Amino acid sequence: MDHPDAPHLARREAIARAFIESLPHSRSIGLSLPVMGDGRASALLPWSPTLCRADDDLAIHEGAIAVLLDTASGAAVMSHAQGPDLTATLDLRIDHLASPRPGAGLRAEARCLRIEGTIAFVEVSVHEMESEALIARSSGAFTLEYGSAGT
Amino acid sequence: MSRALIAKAQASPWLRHLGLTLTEDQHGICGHLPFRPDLIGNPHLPALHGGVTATCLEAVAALTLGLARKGQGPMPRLIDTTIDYLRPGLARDLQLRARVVRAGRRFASLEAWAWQEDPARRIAEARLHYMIPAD
Repeated sequence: MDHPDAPHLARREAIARAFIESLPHSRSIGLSLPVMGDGRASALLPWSPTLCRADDDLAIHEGAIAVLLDTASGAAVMSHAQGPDLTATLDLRIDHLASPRPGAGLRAEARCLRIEGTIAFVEVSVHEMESEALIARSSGAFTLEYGSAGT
Repeated sequence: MSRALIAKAQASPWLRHLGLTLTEDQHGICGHLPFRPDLIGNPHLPALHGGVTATCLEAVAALTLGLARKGQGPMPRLIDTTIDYLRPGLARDLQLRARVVRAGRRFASLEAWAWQEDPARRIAEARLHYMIPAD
């Protein structure tokens, strides 16, 4: 049986996807969001030479990991059933648990834990695509705006 | 010495991709990110991508720490970052600075901050911890 709110959730997902896919920066680095809905989002960042720390250190740069975490967080917020029309990062704490291996792509799993008033709480974990090794995690607060552009 | 460290930091493919430039003056390292439409993270405001701001804060902090250590010893490893986004980063250039809060033998704590036109109106502040590997 379909979820009773299926049409609403589908609409939320469409809003979230339109928002995220309109981000020029995410697109330009090859970041994709294959799964999104009900306050959760998966984001993939395939390895590319552009993302590297140095010419002699081919691991993905910590800053590119921050882009991945932040984008996945925003997508999770936008796809939540009570999701907003717009969201922005208020704060973000990132733990760099391990360095990704040279040449390894990354996958982020983001979850919007709760929406409270005009704030969403989001946690993300980042794994290497193939080995599944845990690379980073984040915890962040995101601001919500309703009734503006984006609908 | 500092020129070589700056050149090495700036040669990072990811920082080159974003267009971040790093220079040194009497106050320390200064980062400058010229605005480009593809750095937008929120098309409706429009505002800089939070991850782009995070990258630049981290880059300025890492180089500030590298210079404080005179480029000697093992490379510090970034452990964690806490970023407060105080204002939306507008569709303008970004300026950045950092300072060493404390650098010990095994750990270092840095602070980095970013602004656009007015240094008194920071758009973001970060606290960063680094681990210094044993020799």
